Amino acid sequence: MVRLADLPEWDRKNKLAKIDELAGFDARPWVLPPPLARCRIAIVTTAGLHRKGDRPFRVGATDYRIIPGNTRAADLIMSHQSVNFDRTGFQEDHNVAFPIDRLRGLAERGVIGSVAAYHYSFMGATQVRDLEAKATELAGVLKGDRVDAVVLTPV
Amino acid sequence: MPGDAAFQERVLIATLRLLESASGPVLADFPEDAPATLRELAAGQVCPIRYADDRENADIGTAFLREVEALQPWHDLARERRGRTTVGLSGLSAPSAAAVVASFLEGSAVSCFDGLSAGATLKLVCEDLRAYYYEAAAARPGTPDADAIQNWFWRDTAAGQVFLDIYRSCLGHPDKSLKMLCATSLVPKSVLVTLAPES
Repeated sequence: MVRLADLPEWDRKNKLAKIDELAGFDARPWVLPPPLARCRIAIVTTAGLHRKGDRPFRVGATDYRIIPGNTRAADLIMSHQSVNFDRTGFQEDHNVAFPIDRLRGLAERGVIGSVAAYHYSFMGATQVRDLEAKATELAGVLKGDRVDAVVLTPV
Repeated sequence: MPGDAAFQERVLIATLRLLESASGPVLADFPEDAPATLRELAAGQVCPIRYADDRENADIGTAFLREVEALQPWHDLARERRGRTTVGLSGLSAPSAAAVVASFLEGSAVSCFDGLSAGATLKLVCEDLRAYYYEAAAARPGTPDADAIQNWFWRDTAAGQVFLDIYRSCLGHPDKSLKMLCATSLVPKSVLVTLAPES
């Protein structure tokens, strides 16, 4: 994650202004998961990723795309609406936004318990409150897949 | 940090270990800076291919189409090396996508994809072209970093000029989807503040 100090002034102000949008999200639930070596982990990204052939994200999209855990990197594509971030990292290595290979490696070595069967992608150029309903829905879906924790990759 | 599995794993493990905190939420700095890549070490190098001469002898649309064709071997190389490409949102080949954009610049209407507005269609086509250029640029000698590639695309290519021309022409477009595309989703703010400060 880039440091605020490394951003241009206009970008830093833009990001700090988003704090105001978070007013009202005051609850701080904290659930201690099982030990990491028993945790089942999923990825939830806002990088606007999906499989080739899946529906691209539209302006203000609040829905999500399902990315099966066995999706090949060559089938991953990005339709994020914002043009204001660098895509070269993702173009070179999908793991910078969707660290599926790293999670698989950790599961193979027993650092984490397992990797979820499905992962999920939103498109981050959306008002955060507009995502709340789908995010709540997704939490229920993750429970159904016995997921203990998620890696959030915000873009 | 693309291509550095060890660094990615250290970041991921440090993140996951936060789950072991007795209370939360937890805000923690990762103490390690990302290692410099070959690309960053070569930062500032200029992408070696320019098409200025071609542009002087052709209109911008024609220069754009020739440029896309000229980059094809580099994009082929990029796809071969990486085993993948992120081009593919529109389903069009790069030359076909460029033809759509060049035609739009000349005043033709956009043939909308199924269920999409003109702006949404043009967005997918433009994103494919941008990915095509960036991936091709990354494959070329000199290992240009992200900033060098962005500077090259927006300052030195016919494509960058075409995108900026579309941006300027669509700001007042009667089609709201095209107007929105140009206002927010075609040209990065960092480029606008330097190359189109009047907007």
